[in-house]
Amino acid sequence: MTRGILLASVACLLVVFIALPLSLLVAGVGDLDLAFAEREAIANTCWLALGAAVLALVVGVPVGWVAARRRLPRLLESAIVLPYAVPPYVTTVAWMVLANPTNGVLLRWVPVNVYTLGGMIGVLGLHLSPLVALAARDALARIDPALEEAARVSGASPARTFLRITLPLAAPGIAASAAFVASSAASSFGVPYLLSSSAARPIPVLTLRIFRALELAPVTGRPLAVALSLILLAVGLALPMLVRVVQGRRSFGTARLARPRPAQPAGALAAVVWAWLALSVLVPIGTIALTSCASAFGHFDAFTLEHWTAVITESRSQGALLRSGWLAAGAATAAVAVGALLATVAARTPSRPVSVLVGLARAPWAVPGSVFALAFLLAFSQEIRFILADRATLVLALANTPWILGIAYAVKSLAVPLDGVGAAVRTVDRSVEEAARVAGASWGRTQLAIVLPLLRPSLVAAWVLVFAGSFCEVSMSVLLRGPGTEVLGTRLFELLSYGSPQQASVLAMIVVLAVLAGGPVLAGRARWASS
Amino acid sequence: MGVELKGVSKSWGRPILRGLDLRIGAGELFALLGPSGCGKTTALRIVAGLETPDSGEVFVAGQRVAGPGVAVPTEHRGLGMVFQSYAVWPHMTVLDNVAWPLALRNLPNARELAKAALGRVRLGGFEDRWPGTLSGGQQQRVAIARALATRPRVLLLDEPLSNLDAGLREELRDQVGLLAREAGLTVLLVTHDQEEALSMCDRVAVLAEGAVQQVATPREIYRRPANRFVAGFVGILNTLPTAVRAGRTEIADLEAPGGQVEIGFRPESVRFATSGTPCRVERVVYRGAFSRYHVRVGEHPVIVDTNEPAGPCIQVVDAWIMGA
Repeated sequence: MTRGILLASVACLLVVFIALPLSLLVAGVGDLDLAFAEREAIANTCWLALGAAVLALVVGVPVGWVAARRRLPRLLESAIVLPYAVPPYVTTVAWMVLANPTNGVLLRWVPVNVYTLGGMIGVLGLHLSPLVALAARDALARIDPALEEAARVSGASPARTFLRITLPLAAPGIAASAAFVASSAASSFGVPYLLSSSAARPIPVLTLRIFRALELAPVTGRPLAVALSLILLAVGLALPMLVRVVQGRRSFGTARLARPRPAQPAGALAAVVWAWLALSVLVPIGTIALTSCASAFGHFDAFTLEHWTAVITESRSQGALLRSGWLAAGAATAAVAVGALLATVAARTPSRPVSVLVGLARAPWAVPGSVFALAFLLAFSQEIRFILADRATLVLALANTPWILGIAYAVKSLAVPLDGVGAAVRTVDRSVEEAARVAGASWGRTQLAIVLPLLRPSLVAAWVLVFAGSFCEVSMSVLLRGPGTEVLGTRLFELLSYGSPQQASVLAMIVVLAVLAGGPVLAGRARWASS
Repeated sequence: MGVELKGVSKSWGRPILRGLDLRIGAGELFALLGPSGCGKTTALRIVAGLETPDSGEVFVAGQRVAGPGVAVPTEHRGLGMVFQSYAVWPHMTVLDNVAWPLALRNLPNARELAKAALGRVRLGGFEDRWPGTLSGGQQQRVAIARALATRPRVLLLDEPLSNLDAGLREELRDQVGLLAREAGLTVLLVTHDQEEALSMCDRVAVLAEGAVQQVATPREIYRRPANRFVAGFVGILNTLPTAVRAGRTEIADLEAPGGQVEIGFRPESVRFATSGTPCRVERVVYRGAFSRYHVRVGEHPVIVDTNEPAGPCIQVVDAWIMGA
């Protein structure tokens, strides 16, 4: 009974906040030729996607191999995810200090310019490379060693064994991660925005063009924005679809479920991981830390705390920080509540309506932030009236309120608790619940005393992930924020473009510290979990 | 009456249980024995209230718990249950696992009772351990202590020992039987292991395709199986056709209606002899406690388990007339 009411309300929410905006987006398609005129943006987006995927493969696979076959120190092992955890615009700030073409710190040694398509590929490729590294590590580590040993016994050299046995077995997982990197790079907004606005000649990509179209003409620009969005969706889906088609339904039943920790210490090979980590996060974070304390921009000889005090006392940055914190906390709580409910029901009592709801809830995660924000604008820039039984009128007036941001954050990340909690639910054997019922606990009591504690690690993890993503969010926020509802990401961009890059570095450092604080929470284990 | 099922049916697309009738006396140790897919687990889960029957009625200790218009929730049926997968709550210590069901019943001395129950399954000293640090056998002992501690009206055992290795299985089997008898509990055991059913229980019901094939004492099930399925499922089955003269069979000397009948018998009910039914020994396998002889009587294969050397003839000591 309670479950029915809960599910019905979730269904209503999903229809209003997912089905409605996305169908308005599809319905808004007019002239696709508008978008095909933007050839340069389409080409740049494709190059950006491909380039980032190739770079992520080149640096990620070796890192993944070392992590799979050699024992790394625990801290280094858990740091593999760090480049992905730090938002890419944070590292972009650092590369703008290090490699800008006028007074970049690196210019003293090498002529590099980050304000190029290559710069975007570099920053995004490194940011996304942990996805490939982790996929490669898991795929390689789960190959039963007996398969490789059998090849060696049969007379294959180590190199031949790697090429003929190891790589083909690991390839599906690695290819899927590379395809995901490509579509993530295509839908990225922050990095292209920052690098293109400072470039000598703008470097248009699709997300940027969507933003500009709406910035210049909030209403008349919509047909162009919608057309661009559809192209972007197509580009983002193309590579993952291709990978899926090429691989077909091939999966090898050779995988071991648990990933064993390798016995052989990494030794000198750890340097591979360290070098990659230095390039993708340690040097950028160090640069931001120094910049946030440097008296003069780009000069690291005199230091001051004035930028920190300025940011912390100045009302706009302060307000943006607080607003982001509250919105992210609210979004995380709402997303985890709805996602966990759906995931539990889908795992325990699967049915067609429930799987439709799950599909609907997962959809926004696959849509680029700029596109989803556009769909939200189409749906909610005017107030919506729901008239119930001729009497009660529900007015939904979200435009220019913080609510629209919070709801967008929550809805966009529903897939995180759905997948995380869903996986956890499936590991809880049904009989554990049934044993509680037989022991005399009611359904509600069983959920509270048995299911909830068992799911708690996954609930906490999902909450932290949604919080972190929403706290740093920028590509939806730039489109959905109203005049009075600045958030951390948009404030950082503003400081960087028009104000003080040093104060922007302070905000970037705050983001980094927030990310680092989330790490131990995610790494924490339930005290009953056996080693 | 401990547990009673009246015409219980259940189907998921295909029929799982077809009008099952069972009467289990109070304090009786009763087994539901059958191959996988025969519906035995579904029957147990219907008694537990974890499934609802499509039709029919279920009584626990005389109370109607399932039937038209009645569905007493699992938690109000006063049961104890041991699962094949142990189902020990991994986030509670060993002691909490046993004490929580007692606390749910508002017993003031839950922890003392739980400690005593753990002692009875020889897990004293393990109270503060996390289940994840215990072996499979120890986890199952926690589950048994948990089920016994509440002094349930009926103890349900769902393949409780099949995840354990052979030696441990035998030890735990005896222990559970003893504890249940001491406490005077009604026990319903579901298993596909005939040895487990025969050695633990007072009566056994053999199930196939959702219907009861035979309900009887273990001895009767083994020595006088009601049909070919039961005979083949609970042990090795030998059959031989034999002529009937003057109302008695030629082989085994059983009373029979006349003409030609088929008799069934167990490998250990056969002796080698110098007179009787002529046979030919084809193969001998030494099995330690006995030797297994693969012999032929005419064209018919017969298996003989004995310690004695082979002879030219066999004599069947104990046999029955085969039914359907």
